[in-house]
Amino acid sequence: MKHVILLFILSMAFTTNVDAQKKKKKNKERDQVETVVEGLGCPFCAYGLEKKFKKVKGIKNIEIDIEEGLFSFTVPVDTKMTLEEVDTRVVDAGYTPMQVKITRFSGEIEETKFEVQDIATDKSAEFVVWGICDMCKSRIERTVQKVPGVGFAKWDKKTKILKIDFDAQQTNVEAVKNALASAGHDTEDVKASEEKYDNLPACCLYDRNDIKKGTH
Amino acid sequence: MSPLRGIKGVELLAIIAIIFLSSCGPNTLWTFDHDILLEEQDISPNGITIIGDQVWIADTDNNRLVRIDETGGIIEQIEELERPMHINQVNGMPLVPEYGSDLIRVLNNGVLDTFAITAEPDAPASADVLGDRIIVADFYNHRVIYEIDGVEHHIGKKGDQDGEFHYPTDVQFFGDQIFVADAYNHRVQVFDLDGKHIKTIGADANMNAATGIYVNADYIVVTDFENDRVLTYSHEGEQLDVMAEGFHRPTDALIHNGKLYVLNFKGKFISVFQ
Repeated sequence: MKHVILLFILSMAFTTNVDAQKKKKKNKERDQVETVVEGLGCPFCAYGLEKKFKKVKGIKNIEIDIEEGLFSFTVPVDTKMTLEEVDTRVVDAGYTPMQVKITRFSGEIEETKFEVQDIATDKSAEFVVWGICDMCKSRIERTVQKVPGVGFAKWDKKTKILKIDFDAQQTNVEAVKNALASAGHDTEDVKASEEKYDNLPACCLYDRNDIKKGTH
Repeated sequence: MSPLRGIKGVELLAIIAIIFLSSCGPNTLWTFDHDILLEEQDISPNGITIIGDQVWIADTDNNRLVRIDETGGIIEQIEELERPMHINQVNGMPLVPEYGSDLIRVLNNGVLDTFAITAEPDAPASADVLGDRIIVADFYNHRVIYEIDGVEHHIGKKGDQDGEFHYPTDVQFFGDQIFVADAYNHRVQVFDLDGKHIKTIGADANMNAATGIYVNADYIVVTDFENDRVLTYSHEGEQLDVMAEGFHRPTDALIHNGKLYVLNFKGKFISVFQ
């Protein structure tokens, strides 16, 4: 009987040890994620992005370079984080990803990069979009340029005026304004939901009282 | 008898000219002295406290606290902090809010201790201690944590009315008042020691992120981050001075021995004024 108990204890110890080693090995097997985020403005906002990603299970080696807009981290391979997931998480945190690259533990590289649509445009428009800082500028311009059919887009921080060129066959001003509202930015006739507005980083929270007063 | 009697025409003209020039010239409350350059040491200054003759800087980008000399050279550095923000002092020791870990730390003879508080802030941006009282700028919860002898109270909630906050980033006790940089409401709010709102300062100054404050017996200094300005107010809320030249994303300020220190986060230098 004693031998049986001893064998049981030894086998348990062996299994636990193997499990621990497997876990340790898996923890060492990590994917490297690198992103380029545009317009990281104040330290409070920039490190807010870092803080939001800390909630990802197993995330380590977080590095952020405000000057260069570089944000990188590693996650265990089991996380199976995708390019789309990184992009969505950055956008949901209120920031504007320009490039996402994942170097898998296996050495395989996946990459996505934002590029302005190379299309012929036949119409132009300009209208006021509410925003306040450089981060707003990045978000407004990229959001609009992601709308199929939009080519050129430039927003002026001082005047709040957005100028766009687009292909009228593919899109219209209303669609552009809806996209902006989804990103948290009000225009005169399309307003962002409270939830979308609240989700903007601190430095992007333009004063909605100014809109009521008609000033910008 | 008129007091002007006996003064010659030329003298009178000179007096008038002096009065005229002094009334229309640039603000002269602060006179630029020098810059302390931190670029070479790769310090992005975000918080400052001076203890005796020791100048401590929170270098948020590099997760460290550095003690610098008068030229900006690093004398000592404390690493492995998690995003230290607006630092302060308690009993002659640096008081360090860690934005990343949600802890308040104290640097005690080179060792980082944790300053025990009951509350759980989400991204503490600043803290200050007065006797058995501590206040913490609780950034993501839009409030100021106020603990008296370990008992937790709160000042404010999210909003733009008096007594409400939109991402507070700096706090300071002065006398029997509490000063709060209500960053994204772009103003400073003042409370009594019961947490009751007394007044709001700078709401009409068109600031864009009032990120840092410093208060002494004469002045309330505010850094206007996005506009690259530094504003000085009296305790009555009167705007005494606006400086808008030579700054690059100022985050915090401090007055010590009659000198005003302004931290330029993006520019990586400290502007010093007399």
